[in-house]
Amino acid sequence: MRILLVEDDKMLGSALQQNLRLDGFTVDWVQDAEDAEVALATGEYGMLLLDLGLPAKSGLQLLKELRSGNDPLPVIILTARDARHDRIGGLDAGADDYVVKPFDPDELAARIRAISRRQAGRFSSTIEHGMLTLSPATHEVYFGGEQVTLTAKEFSLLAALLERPGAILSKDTLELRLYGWGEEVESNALEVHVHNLRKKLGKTMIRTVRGVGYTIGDAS
Amino acid sequence: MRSIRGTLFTILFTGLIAIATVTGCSIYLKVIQELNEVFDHQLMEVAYAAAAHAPDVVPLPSAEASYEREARLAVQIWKGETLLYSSRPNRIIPRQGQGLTTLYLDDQHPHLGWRVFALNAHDKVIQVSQPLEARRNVGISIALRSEEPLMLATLLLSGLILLSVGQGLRPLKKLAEDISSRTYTSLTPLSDRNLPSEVVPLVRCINNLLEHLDQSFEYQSRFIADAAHELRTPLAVIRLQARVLSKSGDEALRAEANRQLNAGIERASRLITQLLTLARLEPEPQPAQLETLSLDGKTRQLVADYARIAAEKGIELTLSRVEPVEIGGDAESLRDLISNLVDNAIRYTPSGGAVKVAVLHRGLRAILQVSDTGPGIPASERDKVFERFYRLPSSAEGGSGLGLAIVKSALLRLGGVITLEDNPWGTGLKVSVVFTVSPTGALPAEPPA
Repeated sequence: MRILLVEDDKMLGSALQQNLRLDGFTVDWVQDAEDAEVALATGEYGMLLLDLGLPAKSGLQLLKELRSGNDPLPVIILTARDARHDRIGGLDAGADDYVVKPFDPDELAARIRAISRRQAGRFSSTIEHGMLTLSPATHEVYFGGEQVTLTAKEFSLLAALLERPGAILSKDTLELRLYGWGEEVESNALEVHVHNLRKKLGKTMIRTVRGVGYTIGDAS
Repeated sequence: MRSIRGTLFTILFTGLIAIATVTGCSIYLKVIQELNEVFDHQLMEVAYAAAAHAPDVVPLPSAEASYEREARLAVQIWKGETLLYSSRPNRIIPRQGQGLTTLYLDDQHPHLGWRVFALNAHDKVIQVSQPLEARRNVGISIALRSEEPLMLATLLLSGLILLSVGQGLRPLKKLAEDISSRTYTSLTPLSDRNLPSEVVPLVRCINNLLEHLDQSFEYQSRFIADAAHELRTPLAVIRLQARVLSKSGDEALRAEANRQLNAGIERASRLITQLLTLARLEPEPQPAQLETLSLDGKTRQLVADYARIAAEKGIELTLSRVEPVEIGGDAESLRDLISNLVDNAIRYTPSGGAVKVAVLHRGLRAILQVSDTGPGIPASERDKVFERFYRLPSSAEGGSGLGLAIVKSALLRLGGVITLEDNPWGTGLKVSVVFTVSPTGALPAEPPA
């Protein structure tokens, strides 16, 4: 999943980006609300992590504008403001969760997974598709009862395709989900990941829809 | 403990009783004196009446009137040496010469005297006598009756004193209750409505104090809230980077995380140090003690302390001009002032830049100048940067936002004026602090109130 992080503090922003990458998320990081708006207009984000105390336009203002434009993007507020009225105000402005600094990074990752699970309409913490079982929390993948080892990118690719089984995702969309800004993308990187996944999970697991993109296949 | 009520009661009651006693005694003496005249007159009247009438119809006072009965008069009539008549035969009083006489016959009871009036009428001597005791008894009973209004007045006055002292002190009691209902969280001013004008100044003073306390508490709690808020960010950084260190297998990533972790710890430590400095400086804007400080010496020493840090950052830190001058204040505040100015300049100046420090003595002014080739501060922001935790929106460095707040607090204690302007010899900022030097040079100027 690709996450947009809005945090004006440089040290914290970079630390958070590193941590979320460790958890297998693709993270873009901007330092103010204006850059966040630009990123949101162009990117394929599954989650917005929003600091409230931003220079110029506040995080809360950005959130309100997002919600008044009927944007369903899940939002978690990350802030040092822990007063009760701040938390209530943040949630009522449209945030899905409210995390107070200094937060537990594992808990933050779990909250991101929980919110995206609910967003996708799933109730189980694992994603199942035929003989395939995928656990976003532990990054473990089982195929026919056997554990399969996947790289972080392979896992993200598989998770993206499994989000809405049957949907066809274009190459561009998948690349956007997999790679954050500044990450080098080889021209055939996606094909390499697809190739590796097919080797590990069987040829029919990922189907190529010629000229359109990829979709998850029957996992029989 | 002295009590207003006790003092008032003591003075008023002692005074009242003394006045009542003196008045009572003087009334008694006056009554006795007047009564004596009346009784003497009565003695004479009875004697004349007896002389004018036959001895058997002596007009003795009527026994019916209690007053007359109490007078206990007796009439004796002599003709030559023979006692012709005695209205009270058992009262034997020797014949006296013409006129009024006071007699004491009984040696055992010297106070049982007699008042006698003898009248020589033709061949007879008429003598009317009265025991002094009767006079005294009548006098006492009349005096007592005269004293009744006085005693009543005394009683009424006592009641009035009790009531008025209680009433007068009631506002104080109410005020005490009002004050005792306050806690340090509810320092709302006391109401001076319906209070006597003597108490209003007291209430105003207390309200003044309450207001200062309230501001001070408000300041402290805001300070603590701000401090907690500001500490969260470096702590979050430390926590996140520690996790990268423990979880990541990538050596380059781990090395960077290690560097960032230390930077986070450094930032938290600096923040705590600065918060403590500010907490030490701010509660009392007046210095603990004034000493004569060498501005040039202190500046020289602190610039030397920063030489290594500047060199590590690739910044040329120089003392461009140092003139000897002394100012007044406390050494700690001066150190906080200079070191925060120099630290700020080094912190915000990029590598390869320069920081210049100068101390000048111009007449009655001592001037400390710190200029740098950093990004400077836009003119519109120059007032705000002295506020606690205010950071320039464009600020790249993870500063605490406390450096200039400390400078401002230190300056309040030292008594000086600070100005920020564009650096005349480069791109950055020039900070000038002007102190007033006392003409004698021995003792410093008073810091402004």
